[in-house]
Amino acid sequence: MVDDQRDVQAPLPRLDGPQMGRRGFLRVLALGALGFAPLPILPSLIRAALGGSVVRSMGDAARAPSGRIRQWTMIIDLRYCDGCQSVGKPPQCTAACIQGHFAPEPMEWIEVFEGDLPGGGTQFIPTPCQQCQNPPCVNVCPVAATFSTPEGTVLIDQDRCIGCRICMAACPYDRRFFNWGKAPVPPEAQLARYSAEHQVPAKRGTVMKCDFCPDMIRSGTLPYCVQGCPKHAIYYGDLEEDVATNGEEIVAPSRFLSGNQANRLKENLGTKPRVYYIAGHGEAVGRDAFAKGRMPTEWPWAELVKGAKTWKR
Amino acid sequence: MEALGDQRSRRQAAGPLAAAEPRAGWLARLEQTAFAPITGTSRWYYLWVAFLLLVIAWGVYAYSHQLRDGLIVTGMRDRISWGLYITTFVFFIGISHAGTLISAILRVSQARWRTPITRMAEFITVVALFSGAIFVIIDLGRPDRVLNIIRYGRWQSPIIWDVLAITTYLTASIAYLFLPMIPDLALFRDRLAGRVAPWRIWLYDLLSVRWRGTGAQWRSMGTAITIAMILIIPIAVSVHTVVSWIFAMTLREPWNSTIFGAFFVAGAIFSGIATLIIVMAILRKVYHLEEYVTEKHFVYLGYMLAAFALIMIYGNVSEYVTTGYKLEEGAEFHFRQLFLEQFAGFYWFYFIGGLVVPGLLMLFPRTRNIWGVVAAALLVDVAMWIERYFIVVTGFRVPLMPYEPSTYAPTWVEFSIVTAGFALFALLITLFVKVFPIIAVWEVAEDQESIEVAPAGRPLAPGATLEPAEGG
Amino acid sequence: MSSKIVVKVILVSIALGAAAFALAVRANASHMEAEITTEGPAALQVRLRSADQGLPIANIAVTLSADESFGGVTGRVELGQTSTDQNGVATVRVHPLSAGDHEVRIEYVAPGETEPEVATAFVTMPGITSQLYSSSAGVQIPGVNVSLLIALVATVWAVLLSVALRVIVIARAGTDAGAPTSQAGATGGR
Repeated sequence: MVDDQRDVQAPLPRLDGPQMGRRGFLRVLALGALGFAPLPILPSLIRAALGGSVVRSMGDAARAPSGRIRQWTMIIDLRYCDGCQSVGKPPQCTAACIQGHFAPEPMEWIEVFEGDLPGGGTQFIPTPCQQCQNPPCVNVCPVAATFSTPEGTVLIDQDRCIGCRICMAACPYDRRFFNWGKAPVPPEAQLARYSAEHQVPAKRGTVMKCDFCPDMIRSGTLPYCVQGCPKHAIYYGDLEEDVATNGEEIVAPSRFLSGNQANRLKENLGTKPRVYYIAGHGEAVGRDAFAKGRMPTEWPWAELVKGAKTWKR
Repeated sequence: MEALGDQRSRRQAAGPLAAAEPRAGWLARLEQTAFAPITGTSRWYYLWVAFLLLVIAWGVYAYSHQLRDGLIVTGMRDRISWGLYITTFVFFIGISHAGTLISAILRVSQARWRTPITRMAEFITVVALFSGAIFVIIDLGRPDRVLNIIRYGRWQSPIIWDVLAITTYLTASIAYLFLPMIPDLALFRDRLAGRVAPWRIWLYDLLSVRWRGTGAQWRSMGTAITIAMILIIPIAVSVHTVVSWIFAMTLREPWNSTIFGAFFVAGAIFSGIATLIIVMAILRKVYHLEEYVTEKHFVYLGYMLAAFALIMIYGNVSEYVTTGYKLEEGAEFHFRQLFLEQFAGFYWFYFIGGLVVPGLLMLFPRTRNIWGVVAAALLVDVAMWIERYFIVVTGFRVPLMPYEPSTYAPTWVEFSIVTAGFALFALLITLFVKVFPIIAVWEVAEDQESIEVAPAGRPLAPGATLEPAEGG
Repeated sequence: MSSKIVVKVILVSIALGAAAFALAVRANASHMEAEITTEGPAALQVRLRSADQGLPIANIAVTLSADESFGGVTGRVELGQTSTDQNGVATVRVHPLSAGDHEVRIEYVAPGETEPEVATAFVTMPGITSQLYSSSAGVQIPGVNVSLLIALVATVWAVLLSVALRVIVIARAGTDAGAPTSQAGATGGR
């Protein structure tokens, strides 16, 4: 095409360089750099100057008698979990958590999944928040609304959460739940002040999840799911002091885990969860691996509230 | 082709000064074309704006529902927690790469044919960035806390990278739109006094920052444009890369891929070219730009569209052949849902209608014309929106634990707001066209000048005047 | 006569007391003695000796356990197990217990016996104050951190601002220039 030829032969446009003065240009550039603190980093500078820290502590970190900070862990012995089939009720760990925390419907902060076993049977896997040490949710949160505590747990500050839900996209265990609508207000919300350790009342447009019941364990009470399990399959403990209990007996996690070849969920993802599983399918409480199905979860407290807003998962 | 009589009458209409200048005919016509949208408004324009405002008003009404009741009014739920809003956000940010490609890359490579379309491309960039940014805020569960991003922002978060990149790109694009527009705004200021409302003259006076066309001013502007055009290319690449990293920084099987950055940037430029073609076609028709925006421009952009279609096909092949060969956990489910079952219609329309067909349309001389290129561009834009949709939804749909996969069914609220977003995009371009010069007059004229120099074989001496050109 | 009985009683009680004292100080089984000391905060050393001759007893499996309390539950937790070596010494690696006195239960099967025997001993653990676990993840590469990103963004914005300043320069050049030269910028003079 003729035009192309002309394009090649035509002289260059007027942009022949900064003849106004290279020095002048550099002067302007330096002024621009010095005279204006580049806007995006201004908040960071202000925050650093005011000495603010990212993690908002609820109180002091839980400490063992030796003074070392507790490192909470959970060990779930699947040899004792039969999905509460023998009890004839919905899984009681979930039920206890829902009642104790007034978890809005349809949130199951600890959820009992039924996974397939080689050979065709199934096993029940109670899945709380895995409290990862390399938490994808904390890594991606834009406002540090979800954060890791010194005890190794992960909490959410619903006063800061903007509801962008990138943490829900990032969690590989499906353990984060969103308040799509306004959840019913539980009775204890009238008396309790909201804190990240006591997630009540739920705030619309923010994220919630299992928090390992930090306010309870600090005073020596075991979490609801641990208390609720009729087979005592869930152990809760401290890796620092190497002690854990399921409400009946005490074990040393280091030996309990190594001796029973414990594993974690999705180990290959590198999230380093604090929840360990000992393989099984409820055989220790008499369950046959081919007895499938469990009762669906219920939210009895929500039904008592008039006009309760619920939604589907 | 214009009759000589028209030329002469235009020359006379432009005033005595114009008649005395050489090349008055062609130049005067160019200026008239640039003035036309500013000096007169047709009834259709008002009807079009009214229609767009109605669509936007309906979208605002839908959003009021969402503000009142929360995100429960959408179809998003815990398992599929992003949907139409994030799809449209990514789509608009993608479109914004039109300006970068045409204005910056073609300017850096000194491709002359870009001059009539740079202004439109830059318009599209600014408007698309703005429209896209709105959708992130619409998607938030707590939009009242959006300032937390500034107060508590974490540098390590992909969303913050997004905010940084988009604000930087928006600033750079506004600068890049404004700087080359200064001489044209000065032209408007000088020539439209008395012919348009006083507030316009005031605006042009303000924005043309005392442009007189002196050598010093040209040099300053030249430096600024050079810096901006070189800087804006890496900025634009970074923008869509970090947008893709919102997905690629998660551990979900369909998103856990290293090529997301490059793939999304290619997709962005691809959809940007398509949008530019569509906007070009519309504005050319409405404002009679046929003399400046010719079939050549469409065909050249069509070639670029085809080239990027090939890049996109390569990206798809790279991603899916490597994943599919191994079929790790989750990949098999994803392949079934994407290629064979629930999302097959979307995917194959995207691949065949959005990638293969546009390539074919450019391949055959029969369809290598304005109609073929515009048809290809329409297919591409629809296909790219669909691609963003199934990337978001299928990514969420792969089950993470043993549970039944969910479905996502957008509600009227989401559809209304997305439609209103597109209407806003169209409205902003419509309004821009009424206020700012639609075509880069000085660049086109400069280009024309250089074209006329070449056949005569002698270089253009500074300050010299030219013979009047025959025809356009 | 009564004084003789009193003296007998006193002697017997002294003997019994001494025996009881001996039992309390030393963990004794029927024919073995076990002594326990700490070797640093994470190991306990058990020394087994035969009661009559004080010879070391080798190659016996020894299990240590202690009472722990957590979450309102108290119970016995196994600390570790190993076997005694030639010198009758078994060094058991344990998870560091908290500082202070602990009552440790030593369980072993004496050679020639079938039933395990149990002895208890008190051991004073040195305190550990340094944290064993700290929740942090990631790889630190020098220089590759957030400050790099901040520097990059700051540089880009500085350049953008210099571009914006150019506009002021243009405006200023406009006031200096005075009267307008040509209209359409296409043939503007240089």
